[in-house]
Amino acid sequence: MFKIILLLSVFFSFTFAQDCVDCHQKESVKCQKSNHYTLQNAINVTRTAWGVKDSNVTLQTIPHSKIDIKKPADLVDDFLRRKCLKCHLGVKNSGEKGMKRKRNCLACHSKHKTKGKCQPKKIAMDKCLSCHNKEFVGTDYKGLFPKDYSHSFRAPLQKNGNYPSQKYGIDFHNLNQDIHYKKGMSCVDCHNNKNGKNWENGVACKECHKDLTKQNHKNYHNNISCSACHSSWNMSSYELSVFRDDMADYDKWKDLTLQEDGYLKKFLTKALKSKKKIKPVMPDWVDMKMKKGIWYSGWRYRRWEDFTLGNDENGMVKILRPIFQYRVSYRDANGTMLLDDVSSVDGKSLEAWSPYSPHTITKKAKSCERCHENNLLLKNSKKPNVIYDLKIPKNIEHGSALSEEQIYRLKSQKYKKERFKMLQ
Amino acid sequence: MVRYVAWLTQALFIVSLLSGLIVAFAYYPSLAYDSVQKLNYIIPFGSFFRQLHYFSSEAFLVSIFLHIVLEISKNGIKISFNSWVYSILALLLALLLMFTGFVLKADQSANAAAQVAFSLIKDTPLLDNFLAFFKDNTVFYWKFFIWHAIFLPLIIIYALFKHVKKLSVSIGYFTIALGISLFLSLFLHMPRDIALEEKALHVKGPWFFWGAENLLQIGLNAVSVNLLLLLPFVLLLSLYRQSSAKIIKILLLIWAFIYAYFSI
Amino acid sequence: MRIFQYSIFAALLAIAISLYINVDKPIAIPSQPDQCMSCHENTTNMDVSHPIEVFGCFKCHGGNKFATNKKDAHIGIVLNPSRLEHANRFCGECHSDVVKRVNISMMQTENGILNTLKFQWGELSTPMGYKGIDELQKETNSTISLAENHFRKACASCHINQHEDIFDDEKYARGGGCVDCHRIEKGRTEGKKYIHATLSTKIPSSNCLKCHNRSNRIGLSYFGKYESEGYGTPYKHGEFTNKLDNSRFYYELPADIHHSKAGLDCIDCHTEKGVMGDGKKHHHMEEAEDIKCKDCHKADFKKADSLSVLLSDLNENMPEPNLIAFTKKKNSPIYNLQKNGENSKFYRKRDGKVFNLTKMSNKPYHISKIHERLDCSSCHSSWMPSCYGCHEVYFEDGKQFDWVDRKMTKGAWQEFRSFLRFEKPSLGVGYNKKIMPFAPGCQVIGTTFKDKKVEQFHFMAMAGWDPHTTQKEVRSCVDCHFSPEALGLGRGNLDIKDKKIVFEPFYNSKKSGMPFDYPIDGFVSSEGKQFQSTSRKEARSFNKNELTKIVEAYKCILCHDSYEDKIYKDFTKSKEFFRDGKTPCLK
Repeated sequence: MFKIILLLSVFFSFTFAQDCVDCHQKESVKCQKSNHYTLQNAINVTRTAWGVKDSNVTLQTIPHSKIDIKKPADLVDDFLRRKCLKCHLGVKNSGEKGMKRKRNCLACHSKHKTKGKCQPKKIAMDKCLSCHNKEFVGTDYKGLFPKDYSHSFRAPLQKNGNYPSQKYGIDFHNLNQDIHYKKGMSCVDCHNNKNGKNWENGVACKECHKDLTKQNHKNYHNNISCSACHSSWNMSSYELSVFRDDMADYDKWKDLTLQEDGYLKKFLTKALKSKKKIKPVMPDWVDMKMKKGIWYSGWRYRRWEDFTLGNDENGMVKILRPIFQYRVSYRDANGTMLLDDVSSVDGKSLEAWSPYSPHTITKKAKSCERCHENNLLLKNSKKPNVIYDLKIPKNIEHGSALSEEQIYRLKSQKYKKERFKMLQ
Repeated sequence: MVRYVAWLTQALFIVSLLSGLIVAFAYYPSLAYDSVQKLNYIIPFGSFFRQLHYFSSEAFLVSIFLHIVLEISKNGIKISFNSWVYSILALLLALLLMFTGFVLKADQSANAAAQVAFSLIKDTPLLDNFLAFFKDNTVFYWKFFIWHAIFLPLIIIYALFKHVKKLSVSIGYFTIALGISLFLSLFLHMPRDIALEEKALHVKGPWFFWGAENLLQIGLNAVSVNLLLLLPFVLLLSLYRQSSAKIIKILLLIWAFIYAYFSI
Repeated sequence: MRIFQYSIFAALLAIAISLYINVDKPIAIPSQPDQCMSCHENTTNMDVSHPIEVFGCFKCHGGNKFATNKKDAHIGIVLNPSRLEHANRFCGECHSDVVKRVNISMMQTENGILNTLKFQWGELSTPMGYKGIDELQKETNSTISLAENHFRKACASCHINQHEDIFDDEKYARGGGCVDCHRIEKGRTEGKKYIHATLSTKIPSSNCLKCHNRSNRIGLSYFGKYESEGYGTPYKHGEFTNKLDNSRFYYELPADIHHSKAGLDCIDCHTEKGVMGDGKKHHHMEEAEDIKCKDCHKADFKKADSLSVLLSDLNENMPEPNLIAFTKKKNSPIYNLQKNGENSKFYRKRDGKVFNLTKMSNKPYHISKIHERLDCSSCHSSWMPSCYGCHEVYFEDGKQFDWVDRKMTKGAWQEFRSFLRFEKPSLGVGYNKKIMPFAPGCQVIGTTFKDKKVEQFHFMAMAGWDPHTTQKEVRSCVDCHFSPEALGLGRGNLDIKDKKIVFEPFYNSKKSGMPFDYPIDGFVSSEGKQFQSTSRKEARSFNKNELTKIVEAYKCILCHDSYEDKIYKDFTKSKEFFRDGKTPCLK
């Protein structure tokens, strides 16, 4: 079944639908420079984390992985192609519910009802969410947090006795929703190119929220980003172990068929049921070919209530999230572990943290204590161990850690006096 | 033919007496069960002599019944009334000997049999004078031992003497008796000793006692069972009178069948 | 005459044959103390208290101690005489008091589990007084309620008198009566011969962990293991790591200090009366349990009694006690905490290693009146495994192994959960009216499939216990006084506005499919309304008054963050000063 879909996708190869380009020449050129087309950011952050120096490739120029694998940097391209890059404009259906899209322009924009007549239609939120989901900003806007993989987390059963419904490859906890969502706003209400904005960049809240005289918008918080205080919860998924297995060894995954990967779920379900041994193959989503080996993945743990802070490239304090902390294994078809749980190369750990804006904004901001008494920032953890250490960033991309002075100022006398006044 | 059985009975008694004497050396009534087990396993040839004693005694009892049947099936009883009475007494004594011997092995089935006898005696007006036998637990086996090994054999020898006038036996018969006992011991098994702590399901007394046990179990009271047990002796005694011989023989037969039925 | 001669000949033949057979029989050499040793001559000596030369085999294993052949000797033999149906006869001959107590102890009857389970699932009006496992075993053909069905399938595998041979994998076998705790297996010799196991009072913790690695996970937490979300990561050599068993995994968190610093086993603290029972039938574990922190860390030393002299002598690793500590609850001797002269010494039972016990200090944080309601565990526990949203699914047509009847019976269960946490244990008022850590216990949402009908029920309860993750360093002030998790509000944003506690939880239970509308990790609302139940009368969340006071204190703690601070010497007075404006705070 799957092979048919792939063949059809190959048939509709990597060209833009001629229909759109006929009229929208300028836009298509602009789009080909955008991040959504090149996926430059995501690809290079991951490649840098895996130890590639000066990585600067795009989706169109991403190489294949070498045959001879000695270090994670040799394997990262295969990982990206087969696990991550299913979310690009050329892929119609990667097997998860909710992640079907039309290709290229139509992935975001909708077709004209009648050709030639301009009918600008707002981009529906579901189109954005077909890629921007789970660990990435997108579904957190709707208050969704992905559950853990193991079969034992498929609870609670619905009233009719069915498992909770899955979307984007897994079922979700429902946490509180972004206030903009509750008020009825969708993605493009903020992320658009009005007023000369770049629609791919972040949004300045000040565009709409001009009056900041109330509350705590004092000058000592001038370099704090809006989302750092106003987000309620955030996405922290710690330590992602990824394992490429070229051997047919499926039994141990019987409780872990759900790995946020629709193809893998279908494959494992079939492989575990069949009496014959099925060869492990997984599609390369860039050139749409089936290649040998399956990529499995697993987290250490996931949290929505902890957070740590850092500076972004403009000096604004933002919440940092792990994106991700990798441990890489690779077993070839003979059973040799070419990479065995590699988590650092030359003393540098395979991780990338990056400052981001959680889309879980609430009207009432965080209480002061959540930053000023934050154990992770104050390094209060009395008995550090492997698990707590995962919450401390070792390598931050597009940003930096809080300076010593910033941390010192968290518990300054000035803060205590101000806070005391507020508590009266 | 008849003579042979009579002499055989005698010879079996002698074998049983002699083997019993040997076995008595190893028996220690204060630690009755343990001494019996010791005899079985540790004392050299202990199990040999115990089996000899057991099978010769069983064969003795069977041979008595055979002897009685053969004697009364003849026309007329040829011995004196005195002798006849002594023979009945000898029968009773033989049964008592068998019973006390069974109790002496001190395992669970032996204790059960003693219990049954105890309850039979307890509720019967005349016989409850014999309760003294069962009273004191610590010397219980001593009492049985003294009776089984000393008093009862002495009395039965006297009774047999009175019954047969001479109490000798030829080597031939002795050998045959020995041979029969040993032959039986080769092919049959003694009933297993059931340890006191064992959770055994069916614990039964000696085979001649089964009828009485089952009768008690179905609810017949002690007195009637006792009377039933004494009936054959009375019948046998009255057999001496020629007149009612046939009726009594038939009555005996009926009794035997009833008892046999209840034994099973 | 002919017949006579033939029969004599036959008889002679019979005599000859039987004599031949008998003479050839091997003569038994009497062995001491019983004949068992004549075959089992290389049986190793078990232990100091049960030497084979004195006891023999028959005294414990039954059988026929005189028999010299296998068949007769093994009639009535008992392989495991410590199984509770035999224990009275064998062990009870000398240890009659103990056997009696163990028979009605909580680890045998599972009374507490049954009571609480039936109460939580609506089958009992109070969590007291229901039967134990032994009574369940005697029942046949009575209708089994849903909670009891669940108990039989999911809980009853762990009790002292379980049958060890019904477990598929020897590693997970439990039960066996007295030996469930007291046996130390010695394995086999090189020639695969079985070495007789030892009976010991130096019970290794691994014996306890056979069962105590589930439910509240104390057996795991003490050793620094946390049952994790089941990913099996990190993958090493292409396999899952850190397996507890075939489907459960763990990761390592800081172990209890009693283990990490002193390597103590369970028995170093838990007394025999607390573990084997005190002769009374109890309803709940906390009634049976004996030891408390202060019994050692604030010990009252008294003269050692005969039992403690006996036990310490048996242990061989400690000197004869002069003064020892006793438990305050049931006055049991803690014979390994001895005071000879000035110093008190704590002996590790396993090998006699000596430790100087840190006495509970008289510093302000221990003696100040404002914290007198805190149980030791509320501050000193560093983490607590919390399993939110246990989902039990019942298939009436399925079949699952019933651990009481030991066969497959009708009704199958499958268990799910929503999410796990270990950080920042919640607090509440526990069964002893003191404040202690709380975690879900149990939050049950159930779905039953009966005759194609699907029904749902739920009972959400939080329970308090000492998670055995004690550390010397405690939680910081703000981690209790202004932490929504610690206060029992759940994960969310806690703040004070207009002098009132304002709390916005993160978890949306209704949208996540739960049949209730408070957040699943919320024990109490910010107004003091208790959302979830408990299964003890005295146990509850903080009420409105308590929440207000705790959060109010934070205002002071902001600057006055040391216990030694003089304002805490009489806090009520300090608050009065503040309200009258006599303090420099607001200036």
